[in-house]
Amino acid sequence: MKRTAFFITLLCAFALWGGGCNRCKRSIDIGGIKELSSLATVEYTMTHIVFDDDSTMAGPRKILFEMTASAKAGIDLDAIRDEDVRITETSIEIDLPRPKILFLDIKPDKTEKLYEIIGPLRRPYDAKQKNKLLVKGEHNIAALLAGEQSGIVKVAGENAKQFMQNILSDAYEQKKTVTVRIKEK
Amino acid sequence: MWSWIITFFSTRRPVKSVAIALAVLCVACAAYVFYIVAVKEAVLKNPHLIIAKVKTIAQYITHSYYDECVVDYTKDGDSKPTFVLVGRGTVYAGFDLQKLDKDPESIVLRGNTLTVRLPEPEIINTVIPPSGFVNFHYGRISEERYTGLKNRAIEKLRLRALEKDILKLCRERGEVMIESFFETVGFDHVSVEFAATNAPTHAPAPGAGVK
Repeated sequence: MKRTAFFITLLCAFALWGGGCNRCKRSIDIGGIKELSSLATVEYTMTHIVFDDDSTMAGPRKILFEMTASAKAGIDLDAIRDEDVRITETSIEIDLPRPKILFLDIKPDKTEKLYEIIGPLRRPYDAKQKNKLLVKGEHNIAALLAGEQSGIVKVAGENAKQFMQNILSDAYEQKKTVTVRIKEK
Repeated sequence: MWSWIITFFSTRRPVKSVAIALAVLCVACAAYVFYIVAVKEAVLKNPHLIIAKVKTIAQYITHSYYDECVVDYTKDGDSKPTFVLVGRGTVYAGFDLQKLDKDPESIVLRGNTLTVRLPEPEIINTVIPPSGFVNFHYGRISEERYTGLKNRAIEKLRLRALEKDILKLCRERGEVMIESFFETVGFDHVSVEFAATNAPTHAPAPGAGVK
């Protein structure tokens, strides 16, 4: 009897300890303001088709969405170190950090349901199933965007170089030659 | 097969045979209904991404604000909400540096002091991705209302960020970071000022603009 009570107390202690940890983790994330120093230099607007086909012998059950997403990419200005900037009497050279995708924005009103075909014996898609499909679409867009073929990172780097070139030329009133490069690593 | 079935039923009493046949039929019907109702995993074939537009921008993002909120929809006359949606996302705030191009006095070198005139900070994006929405309680609502609920969650997050004075924080950090950047690239004295605009820099009244 005593042993059982001891095990129950031990289990309760573990359960409370685990719950407490989860609450701690949540409180860090929620309502947090975080400092950044990102320069977004390109915005891509993309469309992506997602669909589900669950047709069976009982009839068709299909849905198709067109998702429009926008992604911004740029550089982290915080990552520029003193050694990345070389200044002489007549020139200034600056090495910028490698660009990255900053965030992906999928606005709900830019997601359009193009087709929904449901047979008379089939159940229509509910909100949860539709959102599950859109989440898959979101993951697809993120994965495809991260791939080199989209070129967003390359364009972001070129734009960052151009922007820095302009801003530094203005600041030095064209008196110095400005060279901007993107770091290899 | 058929001879086995006939033998099976002929050796039993008729009532028992009918009961067994009915039971088998019920199981078959249940399996068929389950097959129809069962929801299969969404299958995405050959995913493609079509780039519709590429726009050059220059937005300096100084802060992000993560939060979550709850919005609901209640049908007229109902006491309980029909749909409750939780939205989790991030608000990004900072400066649109493309406005510097429109102002010829935005970067001026006077003697050894560089004066940079920044535009007022603004909310750049409020992002709640599809994976950030959780349907806590859901009944039947139209597609338009569901999209409207999602938009309300996004607006609620934006207003909360403004209530937390995110734009004031942007102003302070923008000033420090721009000074620090130009000092790194060789200027001894940097002065940062803000262009006067009509953009709201204060927080609206709590809940303003959100139904």
